[in-house]
Amino acid sequence: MKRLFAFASTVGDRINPVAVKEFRQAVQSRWVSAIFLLFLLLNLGIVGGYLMLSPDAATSIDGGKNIFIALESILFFTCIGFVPLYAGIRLSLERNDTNIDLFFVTTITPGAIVRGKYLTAMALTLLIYSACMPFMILTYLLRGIDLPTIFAVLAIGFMVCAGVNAMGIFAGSVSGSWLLRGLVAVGMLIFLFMTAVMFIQSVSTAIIIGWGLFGVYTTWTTIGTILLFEALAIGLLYVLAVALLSPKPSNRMLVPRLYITGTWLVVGVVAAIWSYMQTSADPIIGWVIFSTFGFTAMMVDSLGERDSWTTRVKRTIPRNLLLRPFAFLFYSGSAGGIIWCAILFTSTILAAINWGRYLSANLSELHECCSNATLVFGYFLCYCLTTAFFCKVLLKNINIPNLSVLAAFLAVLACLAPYLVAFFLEDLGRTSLPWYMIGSPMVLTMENQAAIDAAGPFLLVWFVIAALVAMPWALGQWRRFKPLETTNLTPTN
Amino acid sequence: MDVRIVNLKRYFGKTRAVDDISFEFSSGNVFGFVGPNGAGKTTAMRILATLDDPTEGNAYVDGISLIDDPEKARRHVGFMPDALPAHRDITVHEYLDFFARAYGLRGVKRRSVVDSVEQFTNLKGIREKFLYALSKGMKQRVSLARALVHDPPVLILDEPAAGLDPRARIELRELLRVLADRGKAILISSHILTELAEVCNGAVIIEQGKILRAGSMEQIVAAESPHRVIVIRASNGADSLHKELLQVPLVQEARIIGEEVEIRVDGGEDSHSDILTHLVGKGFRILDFRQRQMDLEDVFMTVTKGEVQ
Repeated sequence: MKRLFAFASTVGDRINPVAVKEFRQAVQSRWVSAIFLLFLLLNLGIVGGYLMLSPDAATSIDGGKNIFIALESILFFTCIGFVPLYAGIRLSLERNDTNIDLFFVTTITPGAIVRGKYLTAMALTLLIYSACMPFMILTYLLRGIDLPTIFAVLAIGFMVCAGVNAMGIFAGSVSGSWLLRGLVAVGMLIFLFMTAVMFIQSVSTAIIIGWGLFGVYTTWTTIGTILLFEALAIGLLYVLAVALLSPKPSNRMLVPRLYITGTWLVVGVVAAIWSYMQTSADPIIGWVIFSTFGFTAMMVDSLGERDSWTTRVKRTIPRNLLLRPFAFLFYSGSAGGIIWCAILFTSTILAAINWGRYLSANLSELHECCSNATLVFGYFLCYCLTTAFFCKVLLKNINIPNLSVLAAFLAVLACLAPYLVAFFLEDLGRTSLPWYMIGSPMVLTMENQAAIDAAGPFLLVWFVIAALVAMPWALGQWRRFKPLETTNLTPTN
Repeated sequence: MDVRIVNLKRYFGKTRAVDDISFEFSSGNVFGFVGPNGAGKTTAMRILATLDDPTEGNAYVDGISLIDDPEKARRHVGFMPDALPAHRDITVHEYLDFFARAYGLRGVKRRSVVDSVEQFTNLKGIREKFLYALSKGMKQRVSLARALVHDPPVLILDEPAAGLDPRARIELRELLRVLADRGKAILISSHILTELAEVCNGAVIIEQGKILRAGSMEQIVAAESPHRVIVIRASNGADSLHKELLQVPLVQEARIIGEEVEIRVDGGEDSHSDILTHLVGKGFRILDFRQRQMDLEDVFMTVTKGEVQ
């Protein structure tokens, strides 16, 4: 017995401290208990009500199927609507600037905090799943659905929950103004709603077709691909959440940039294999689209990063002159971040075009996708460089907090304003390009080839001017990106 | 173990909450951090607790920068905020156990540390109570216990006596003395200056983000009172005593306070007997003759203006 206690104690010590605290609080939380009891009551009510009140409960051949769809919908909405919001809101409240939770001043690492929160969210999901299992299995006895379908649907649902829980924790780790947090929360709610709708549609299809659907090879390759992307997305959300929780003076963008570069490569290789097997450029087009959106967002975010480096980061800057340019791209830093995004995006386009030449399949679609992606990325690159020039060269004495949020807002405004003007002036149908539309990537939506053709040269000129005027800012950062001199190691008064 | 704050600045827009402050304190000392409301005490303490980043400047604990290496420095610093963050659904023991785990304490050591901290802060009897159900005084005890759980050599205590009853305040004072005797470097802010003066070896007086005075208690008091202050009461009445005292060359200043006369005199302790002899010689019947020590409260009232930004 002593050994058992000792073993239990050792296991207890190994569990993430944040997870232990969160479990304890969840178990004692009235809110969690209420949701859990309500969930059980709904399950009991639906199954009990059907068995006692439905006249054809004993004879119907698809009673189990209908009950399963109802129970699965309740289960999924409970898991997707409650757990990520619970985890996200708790973390967000603990990150409140004016009353930050004191465990952020312990020696616990940001990674352990995120893992602890995620582990708790997954345990809560598992708890809800385990509670509904008996009801789900009972539907098999009510006919109309087979056991493999039940388990497969539950497993897929659980995987989806794993993704949305990571999303909730990432959203909760965003600090800053309530406006920013509110925007993130709204974005998350839209994402959760879309996920729920898509999942319920997929479940309905799976149940109608039954286990036969899971006997098809393409179903498993599709599920496998989705799971791979989900795992990569969970990993990305994890490294981003850890970066957001890390202290500001740390080199917090290093791991996300390395991870994104690795993910970009893995997805590119998977897309190439898939494209080769299908003799179609569609997977590569998908890779180009995802890369464009991803690197554009990362570029806007990079703009808000640091322009100089703290002592702790300087200690890790390589002294080797060959390695230092790579470090400049991957370390936290605004100019390095923008150049890193631009290099990876350019590599994506070059790889896609060369792959298209090799494959010789739906080349025109691939070329159109690449040219549109280049225009979209080019517009945002010009916005970023122009913002950098105005905010960091012209107005460098004015401290602008959250520059990336400002840049994102200005970019969205710049995208939409000309389009709205064109809409109100009824210029959208014109065959010639209204001059004010050329400042926005929305020009691509005009179905006006002359406009699109004019956008390229315009962007090129804008890019050259913006790059030249923002050059002092980028060069200044490169000059400051030097390892710490040994004489500076001791603090001085 | 020494703590050095070097040219620390924290601006919120145009408001200079902390404006270029520098001071230091070390092991075994209790250092008071005094200032009117809105002086920047809590902001500075939050920076020292690594909860906030300064606009400029740095702070070092045993040479480790709190700004550049917060993770490393946190092992050496225990912070007690002015209010315990709201936690529902967790008991006192679970709360302390969590922080012990978060600081990397494992197994038997963790349990014994939590036990001894509960014992030291007199929380044994309420360890199974939920945090939200505790009184203000009990919450302050839990907060202090939490700050002590990893046995940090430096303690930053923000208004630990706020809202405590007299008994709890005395107990807290005793705890602080014990902690200082154990070699902790303690920075404590409080509005109860008389109590602070009893427990502190040194103090920093801050207003509008700027340091007005800093040093040991003796240095601060001496800086504000270069003259000795003597209070005299005589049966002949305050007016005639006041008139006579103004004739004595040693007396720099004299003022009537009720039935007494307060004078400021030059010179050492010999001046006391000179003045006394002079008064007796002039026929005054002296009922009370005492030197008044200037305390932290007097200094505070003298140097601060009570202005906020």
